[in-house]
Amino acid sequence: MKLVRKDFVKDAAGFVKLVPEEPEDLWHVYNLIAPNDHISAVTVRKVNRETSSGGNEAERVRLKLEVKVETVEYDNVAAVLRVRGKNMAENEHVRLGAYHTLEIDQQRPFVLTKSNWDSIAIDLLKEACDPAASADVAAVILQEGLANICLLGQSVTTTKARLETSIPRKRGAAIAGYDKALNKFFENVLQGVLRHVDFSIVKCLIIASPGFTKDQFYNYMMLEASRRELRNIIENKSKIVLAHSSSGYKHSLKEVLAEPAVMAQIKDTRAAKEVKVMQDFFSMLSQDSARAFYGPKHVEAAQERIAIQTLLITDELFRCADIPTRRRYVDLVESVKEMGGDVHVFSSMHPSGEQLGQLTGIAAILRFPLPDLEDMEL
Amino acid sequence: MPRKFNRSINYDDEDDGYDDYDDYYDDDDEEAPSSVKHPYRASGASELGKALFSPLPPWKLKKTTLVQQVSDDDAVKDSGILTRIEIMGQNKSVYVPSSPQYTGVVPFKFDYPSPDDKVRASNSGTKGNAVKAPVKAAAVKSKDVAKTVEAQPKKPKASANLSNVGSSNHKEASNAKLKAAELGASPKEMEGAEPQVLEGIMHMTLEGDYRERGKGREQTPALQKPIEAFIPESWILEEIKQERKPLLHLIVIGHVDAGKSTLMGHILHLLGRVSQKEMHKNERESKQKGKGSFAYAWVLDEGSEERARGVTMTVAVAHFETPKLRVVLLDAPGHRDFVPNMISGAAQADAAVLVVDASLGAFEAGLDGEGQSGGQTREHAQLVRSLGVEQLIVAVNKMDAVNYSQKRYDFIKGSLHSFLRQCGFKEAAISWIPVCAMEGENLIAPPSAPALKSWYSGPTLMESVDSFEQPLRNTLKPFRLIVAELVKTRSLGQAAVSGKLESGALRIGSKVLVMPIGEIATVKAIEQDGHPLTVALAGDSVDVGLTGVEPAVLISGGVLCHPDYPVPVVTKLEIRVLILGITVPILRGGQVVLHAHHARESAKVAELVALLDSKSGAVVRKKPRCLTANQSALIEIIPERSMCLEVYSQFKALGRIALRDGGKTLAVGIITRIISCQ
Repeated sequence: MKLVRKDFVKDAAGFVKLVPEEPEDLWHVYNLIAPNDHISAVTVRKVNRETSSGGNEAERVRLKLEVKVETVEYDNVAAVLRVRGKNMAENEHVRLGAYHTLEIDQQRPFVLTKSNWDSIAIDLLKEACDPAASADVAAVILQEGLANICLLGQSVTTTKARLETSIPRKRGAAIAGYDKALNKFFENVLQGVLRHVDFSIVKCLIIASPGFTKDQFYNYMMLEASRRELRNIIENKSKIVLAHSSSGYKHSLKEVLAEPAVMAQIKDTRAAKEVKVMQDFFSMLSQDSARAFYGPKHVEAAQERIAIQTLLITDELFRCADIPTRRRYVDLVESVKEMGGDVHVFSSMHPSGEQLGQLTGIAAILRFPLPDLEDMEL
Repeated sequence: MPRKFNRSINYDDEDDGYDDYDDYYDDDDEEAPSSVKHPYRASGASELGKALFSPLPPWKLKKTTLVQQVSDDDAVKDSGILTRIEIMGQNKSVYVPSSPQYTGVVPFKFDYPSPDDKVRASNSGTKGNAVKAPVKAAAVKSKDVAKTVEAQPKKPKASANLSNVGSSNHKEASNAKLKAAELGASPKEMEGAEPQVLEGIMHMTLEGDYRERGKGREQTPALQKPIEAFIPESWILEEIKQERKPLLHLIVIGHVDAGKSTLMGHILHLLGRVSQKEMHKNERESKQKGKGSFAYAWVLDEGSEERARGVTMTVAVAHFETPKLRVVLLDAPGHRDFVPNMISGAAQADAAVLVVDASLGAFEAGLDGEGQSGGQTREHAQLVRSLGVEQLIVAVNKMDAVNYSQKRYDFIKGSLHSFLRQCGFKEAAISWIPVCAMEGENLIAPPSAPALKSWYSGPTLMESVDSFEQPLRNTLKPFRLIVAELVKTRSLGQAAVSGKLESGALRIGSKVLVMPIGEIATVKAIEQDGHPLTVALAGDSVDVGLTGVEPAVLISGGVLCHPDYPVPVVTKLEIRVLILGITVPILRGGQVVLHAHHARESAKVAELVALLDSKSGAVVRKKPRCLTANQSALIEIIPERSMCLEVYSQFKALGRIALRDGGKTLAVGIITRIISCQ
């Protein structure tokens, strides 16, 4: 994301002008925008006007509007952000206070004005505008008859395609049918890869499956690539990594990311770090359950005792509607940092973030056990 | 509500249940006088006799299926007592309870009045009598029977247990009815007003069911029949009379490279199920590839990938016969990545052969694994038990590698024995046999190697397989077939499935409902092991060709069922699980793969309902924070897409589940409640 202008100080009002450049930037913007912020951008609105003859005529007018945000919608697959709110800038076509929905798209500049820039928002902005951070990984997770093609961005995982076929079983003469069905399935997966994976962006392509399906698919892909001269694949052969997963479902992605061979490739990406922290949390929970807690009340109680070593929190919680709740979480994050703890803000668009989201969205690993907290009913 | 479910799985707390019933009899006494207009009452004949010979067909049927139903439970042996007790059990549940927390069930007979009754009921104000009559008859009768049981000289406690087994079997009746009893009938009955009671009952029978089953079904209330209302068609009864050689599904399990496929391949070869020509071909080809030792395994491992890698990947199916049995052999893969396939195979199995590798280090790896939660010997044994396999042979393979040492054999037996007992196998149901698959030692013929002959004189593997008992089949229940795989052969056509008939019977021309899609299809052809059949009964595994349906709507894990008795398509369910040796605890919101029969679906743990005492099943803690190894718990699960499942107590084959994640089995269990379905 391009930061065109900024004018704010911490914990005070101010504005920034931004230009989203990639689909993932919209995700950052989605997290950045909170209700009651002001957004101004160029937009198109259908305006009814009376003609001289007395009839009505609709016209689409391009104009610049500023809205006070009420709701924000994010479409992951289409990469569009819609911001709905009341108009704040008087205009010859749109009344003050009339509702309008702005669409924020890639390469369209907009100005975001906040009444309060807290530390989370500032960190988020910094991260969103860091050009080095973007690194995409594509993953094909498959098992016989099921495949998911996913794109992992810095903070967003998108399932681009899900393929499912029934593969008849092997036996006697039917064995030929089995091979045929399997090849047809692989062909579909290959088509999906060709359509959705852009090797100019993607750093590596992970093929993961239980058993030997990944090798079978890899062989099939290479064979077809040389037969049909799919330059895209032949030239990027070195980017393909094979990994093990326990199933073809999307949630196996977290196993794949934890695999050393894959870890090495995507070492510095956020997804890899999140997976690691999540694993730490789970192993702590099973080894010493008095040192790992989840749920806002338990975690806050632990922070009162300055016990938090690592705080895991999803961005979803900051996006929540009212300011006091957001303030509460921001304060929690700041106080953990002050006490020398680590804070990991998980992206809810990654598998590990999704998992954390299921666990109320907040969890903590403690410095020392708090057995009394464990028994507390909060 | 929970108590009922507890009982259906765990028979420990039966005694209290019996006490409860006593209370109901008292209530019954109070109410009895108000039912003077009862037609049966006027006649002088014994109530028991009347009820027994009442013309309702399901009732008669009950008697014929009696032993079959009850002996599902191991505790019950004496069928002599049974007959009486079973009847009593039914009667007890017949009586609509007055206590609101009692979750008993009103059985089929009265829920679904015969057509005549229905007509009468709808015609006029006699509504009440039509339904009420049998209720009262049964209520009175139950008292009689209660007396008979008490009068019996045999241990009263045991019979109390038995009777509850009977009744709980019956209670398994239908979830829907159960709910109906709670919703409509019992509160109204509390008020004591007769017409309301009747209304309650009517309400329960006519409305209650689909209210519970959800909106999707509301348009087709005709489908809402409980399984017990099923009247087998005459041809099914005819078929049952014919003598057939019992059929047994045998699954071969064990750690990777324990020699499962080789063992079975060799047996098939010795039995002459593999032609000489084929065997030569296998030998030649395997030698060419430098895998001479795989010649026998290749009998079952036909896939090119399987042969190239020397690992079984999918469940291979073969058929052979022993003197007493027809055996369907399922050769499961041992590699840990293919456990899902093995689960699918085990769901069909009636008995299992656990193959363990006797050679030094290999056995230990199978049991304890390398740094993981365990090898596949351990995982498979736990899985097959939880998937309903009760009879087990442990074949200690590769005895030649340890010079047929008795010491090694005893060591393996000693270390496996306690583990298998812990898994829930009964002492008497486990047999131990030393074999050598490659040499063919002790497979069909008694051992020839002097080292083995010197100390082993027990049965051969084949003799042990022959001594397996065929489990009881639910032939008299409505037809259900769980789709294991899709097949495409010329004789069956494009839309063809293979699977095991879990209940009922099927013949060419039968109409079946294809679930979860809900379309009707017609059976075009039935095949078993490549031979055409006209009729298939419960327990058979068959290939079925269908017409009138797109091949694309058939999925493995789907169910073909009787059009009038559809399988619920579940979207949320409550399960009771035993957590296995896991390292990562199970938390709310955890992502798992839910395996049930042949279906698997990604699922989410919606709620940790309660932590249970693993012995008594009592609730230790509600809403636990997390579940760790070896705990027992009630949890709620939401599969990503709906699945064909059923409460365990109603239909066992559809009610067993396993939860897996990250290549490990996290938990095994049974479905206790269906929370919502399509």
